[in-house]
Amino acid sequence: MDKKRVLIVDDEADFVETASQRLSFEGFEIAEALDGETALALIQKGAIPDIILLDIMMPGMNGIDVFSKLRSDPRTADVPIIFLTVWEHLIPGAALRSKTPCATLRKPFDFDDLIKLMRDMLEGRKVSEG
Amino acid sequence: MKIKSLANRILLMVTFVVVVLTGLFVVYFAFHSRNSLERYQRDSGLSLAQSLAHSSALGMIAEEPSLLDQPFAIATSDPEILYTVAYDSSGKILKQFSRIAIDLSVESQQIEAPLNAAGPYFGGTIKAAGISIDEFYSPIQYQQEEELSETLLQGKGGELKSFKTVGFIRIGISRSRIGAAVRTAMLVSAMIGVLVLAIGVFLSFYISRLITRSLKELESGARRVSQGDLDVSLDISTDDEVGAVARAFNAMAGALKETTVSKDYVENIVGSMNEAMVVLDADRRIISLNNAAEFLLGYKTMELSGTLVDAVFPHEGDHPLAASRWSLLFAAGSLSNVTAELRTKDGRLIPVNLSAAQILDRGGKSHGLVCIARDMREVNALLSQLRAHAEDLERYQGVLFSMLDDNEKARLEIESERQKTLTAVNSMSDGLCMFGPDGRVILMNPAARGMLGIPEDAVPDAMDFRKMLGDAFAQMQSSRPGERPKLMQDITLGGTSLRTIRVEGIPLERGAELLGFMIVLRDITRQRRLDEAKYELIANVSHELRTPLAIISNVISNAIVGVAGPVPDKLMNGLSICQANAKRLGHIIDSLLDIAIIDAGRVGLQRENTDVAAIVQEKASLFGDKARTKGLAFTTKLGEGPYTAYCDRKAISDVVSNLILNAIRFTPSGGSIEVGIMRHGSQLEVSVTDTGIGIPSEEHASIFDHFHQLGRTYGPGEKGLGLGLAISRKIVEQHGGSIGLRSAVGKGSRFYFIIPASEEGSGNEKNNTGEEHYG
Repeated sequence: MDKKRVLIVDDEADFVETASQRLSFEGFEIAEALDGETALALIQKGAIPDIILLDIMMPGMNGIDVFSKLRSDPRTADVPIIFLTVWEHLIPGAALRSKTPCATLRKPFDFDDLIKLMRDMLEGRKVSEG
Repeated sequence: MKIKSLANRILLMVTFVVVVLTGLFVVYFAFHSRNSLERYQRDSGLSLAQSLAHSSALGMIAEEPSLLDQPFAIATSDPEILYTVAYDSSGKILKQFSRIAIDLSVESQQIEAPLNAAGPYFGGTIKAAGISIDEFYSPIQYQQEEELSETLLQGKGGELKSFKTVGFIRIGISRSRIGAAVRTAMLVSAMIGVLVLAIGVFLSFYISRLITRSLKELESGARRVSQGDLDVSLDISTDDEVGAVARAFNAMAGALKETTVSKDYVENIVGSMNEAMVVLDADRRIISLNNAAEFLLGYKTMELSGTLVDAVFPHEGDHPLAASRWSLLFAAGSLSNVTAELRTKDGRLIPVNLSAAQILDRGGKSHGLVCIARDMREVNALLSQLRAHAEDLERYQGVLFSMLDDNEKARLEIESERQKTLTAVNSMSDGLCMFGPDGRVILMNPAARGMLGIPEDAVPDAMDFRKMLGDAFAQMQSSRPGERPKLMQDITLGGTSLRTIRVEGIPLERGAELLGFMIVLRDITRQRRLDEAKYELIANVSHELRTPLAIISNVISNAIVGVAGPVPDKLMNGLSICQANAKRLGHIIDSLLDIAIIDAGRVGLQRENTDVAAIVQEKASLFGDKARTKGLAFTTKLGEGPYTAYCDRKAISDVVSNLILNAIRFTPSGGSIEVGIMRHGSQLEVSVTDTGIGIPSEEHASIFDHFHQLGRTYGPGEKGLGLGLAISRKIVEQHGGSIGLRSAVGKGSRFYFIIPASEEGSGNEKNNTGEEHYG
């Protein structure tokens, strides 16, 4: 089975590091970006991930803007996105209700929960809210 | 056929007269024209004959017919002149002109008359060739030569012996002209006659209608009156004789009505009178009694008719009804309010109050007396009772006066209490408005005026309050007795600065009676600002805390699963403790943030019609295993449904989870937990009952306040309740419900919350999309 590629977008370098350690341990191929612009540039270069973990509160371009850009790009329109944030109230309800795969996990979270959610979304299973 | 209608008779009569007159006129006109024409024919015939005779004289003397040509030419120019003949004295025709075939020769005896005539004459009418002809003769005469012209000019003159007749002229004029003229005249007059007849008939018809219409009205009015309908009034307003008759008729009907009405009226009054009425004649004899008198006396009118009044009024001496005073009474004519006694048939005497009046005829002559007697027995009895009561009253008066004094004291006390209350109300910092059941303002303290910006002297009405206070007021005003909720609502009022006012509605009831309602206004602007500042602080702090906590959690989790290689057992135990406490720290931060958000009113509820029983079952199955793992008996009890409520599914789920988790946490192994849902009328009750450690009663009131129990210890090894109950209370209250508990230490607890059920069939669609905020 091919390794699934995960793009982690978060401005906290320590968070990105610990998360990528764990996810590569769990068998994922990791790409990292410390801000939205970098994440979009990576995708522009053709590195299309299988799933994206996206922070919301970031300097420069915030997670919601990145989300909109990704959804409007046909290459990433259907890529599952999981918002990892301390402040889920910021996520517009419209984004969560859209048909494209999308979920939210509040930080701090349990890695078991995250990995289960990622596997579910990658396999196209319906994800229950919250 | 007999002609009944007056109109037709008039019509017939007028027609007859017109026909006769027209006939006479036609006959007269025809005769007159005929006579005139006849005369004209004669005159013209005679003059023509004479002038011909004159102009023919020379020709005749000369016996030269050609000399007659010129006179004849003139005479024959008229086609009505049928023939013209000139004879000589022997009767021989000298010259003739004829339009018809006729023998004009004359016998000798025929010439005598014309020759001997003094002048022209009418010779009679003959009939020849089917034509009537008037004949005219004129002798042709002449005088001596020197006198000839003079003689001719003088015309006839019997005294002139010198004239000599030399012949005569005979002319025939057709009578056809007269016939035609007479026929024309008769035709014209006949036509005029027909025209006159038509106009006459029409006029007579119109006039007869005019007359008979009023008469008919009069007749129908009279008929109605004869049938008893006295409300007749004829609408004939003309000034003529018919109008006068109608007015007289109306007056008569009116008078009849008045008479009849007043007669009925009088009979009714007399019949229904409660007073006894006795009618006397001038000799003190009874004429009649009314019903009341018959009843009172026991006599019938027939039995007393004609007897002296003494039979029923046995009075003597000075009494006005006594025989000795009769003439005086009769002369005076009236009597009023005299005490008297009536003797009944069985000999009882009844006290009465007597009045009397004369019966007068139109001439003012008295015919008798009407006596009205009022039975005074009841009145007398009442009077004696009243006297007794008056005595009683006098006796009680003293007692009453002393009682009144006590009352006054009580009143003053109440008044002073009222004043105290009023002073308290007026000096309150909270606004207070009291309303009657109709929404009318009964009381409003200065604080309320200040908050609502109502001037000292203004009296706002219900509409003003509805505008200022919105739904809270409207709901208080429209809610029905018996089901008055205590309402709470925050409103924002403008003014110099924005103020947030908490409006609380409280019904005022005495038993089942609704006395009105009260609205308490509390300025919570400051509190609201504090809440917002607290929210900002906590939100920032929790955000700042969570990020490092997430990293710490990640590291611990990574270590435990062996991302950095195998972990010794001793370290693993420490790592597990770290992980559990990191999770707990996460929960505390979550709760802090949640409650800050709730206090600041920032989170909206997404309400919809939801099956609460399904939530309860879902949570029961989710946590049931956890409970059983801990060694607890876990049961679910569903009562009679339906259990639909208009609520936020997630928020209510959180409350149910919180209650179940608390129960599990605080119930020692071997205990039991029961989760139940019941319906009480329009309310749903969800309860979680455990056999746990229980909560001391002094804590019951504050257990739902936030931060209160944080860190408290209620049992060995179990930390405090956290913020869950505070959040639960906020959620339940936001749904218009309440949360509570019953608990005893060592026995266990029963936590429950109550929220309104959806009304069947309605479902509050209007609020489905709206967001509401935690208060």
